[in-house]
Amino acid sequence: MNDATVMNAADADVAARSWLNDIAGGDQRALEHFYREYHGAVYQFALRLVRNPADAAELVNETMLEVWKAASGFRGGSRVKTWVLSITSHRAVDLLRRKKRHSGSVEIEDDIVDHAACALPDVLSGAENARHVRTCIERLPERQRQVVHLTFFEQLAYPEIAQVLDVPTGTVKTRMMHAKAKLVHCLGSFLSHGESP
Amino acid sequence: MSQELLPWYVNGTLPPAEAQAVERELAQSEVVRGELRLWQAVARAVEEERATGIADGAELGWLRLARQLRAATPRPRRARWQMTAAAALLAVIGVQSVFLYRSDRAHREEIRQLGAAPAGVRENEWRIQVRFRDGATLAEIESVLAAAEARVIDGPSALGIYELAVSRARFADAQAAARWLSEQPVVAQGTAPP
Repeated sequence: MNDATVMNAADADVAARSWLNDIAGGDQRALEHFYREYHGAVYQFALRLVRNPADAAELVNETMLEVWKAASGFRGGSRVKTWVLSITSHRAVDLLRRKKRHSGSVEIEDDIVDHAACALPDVLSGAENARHVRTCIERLPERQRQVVHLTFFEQLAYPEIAQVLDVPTGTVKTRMMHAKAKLVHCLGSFLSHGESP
Repeated sequence: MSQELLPWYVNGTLPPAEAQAVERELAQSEVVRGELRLWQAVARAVEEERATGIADGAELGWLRLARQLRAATPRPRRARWQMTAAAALLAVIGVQSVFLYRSDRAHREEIRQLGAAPAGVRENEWRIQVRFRDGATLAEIESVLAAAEARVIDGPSALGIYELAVSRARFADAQAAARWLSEQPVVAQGTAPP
């Protein structure tokens, strides 16, 4: 993040705190401001989590309803964006549980990738193809995809990601390491098999 | 190991001490520099994705949420002022009942006919009928009544109409009183019955 980005993020956070204060007092116009400011971030994160535009839109709605009900509960210990994305994360877990699509992601933490088959230097040329990289990100298991998204799309610090996902910071780093291994493997497959590994 | 912090070195969120530790490893290790290139490529790919725009469902999404909030919000309570007015009217009716009971015994011929002006309109008052707007607060209604030098003497009817007794000292005639009341924002309609 450059200085301008940092300043913009800080300004946005100050405005959002003011809106939250008004929302806690029942001000729907403040909620509308808040909604328009955070809709994009919440929707994109939700889409990463559920991979379905309809479910992502539902998560946005549920997240903003929670903001309306729980604005007074925001204690200011984190950035507002971190707080609102953590609501989205929790709501996504609920949604995925309801849809019984959550199974299968639990064992991802211990997922082993065959590094030997695709060494990092070999795949770096493949990493220059942004489309390949995005395809590989999409193929990551849910929990690793969350961490990659929050890091590079939302540009959150790793302690903030830990807050959003409600996990220790070590878990965030571990998921990112696993994501790296998967990305290297996936990009290596592109090199081996051309356009469709 | 600082290598594990590379993604956050790339997104610029590491505190200075951790960023410097990463830079020391970068200076020493070709493997770490290779991994840096990987994360930079990931960051570029995500940035390109951001630049292509996100689904613009904000407007519809907000309309949906606003509708839900409206549905969940209780309607403004008309009951508070209406109950107060009703309580006042009950008191008036109670007093009138006693009065009429006594009048009936003493002055049976004075019982007023159905459709005549309700008891309670004095000689120095005009009888006016008004209907207040939905959502009018008790304070707003009291303010209008005070400004008109009026008081509630009956109502509300099934149509929400109240009978007012308005001071003749305030208005030259009943039509003027009705016009003035009709012009007040909290009054939906004001008429001077014949």
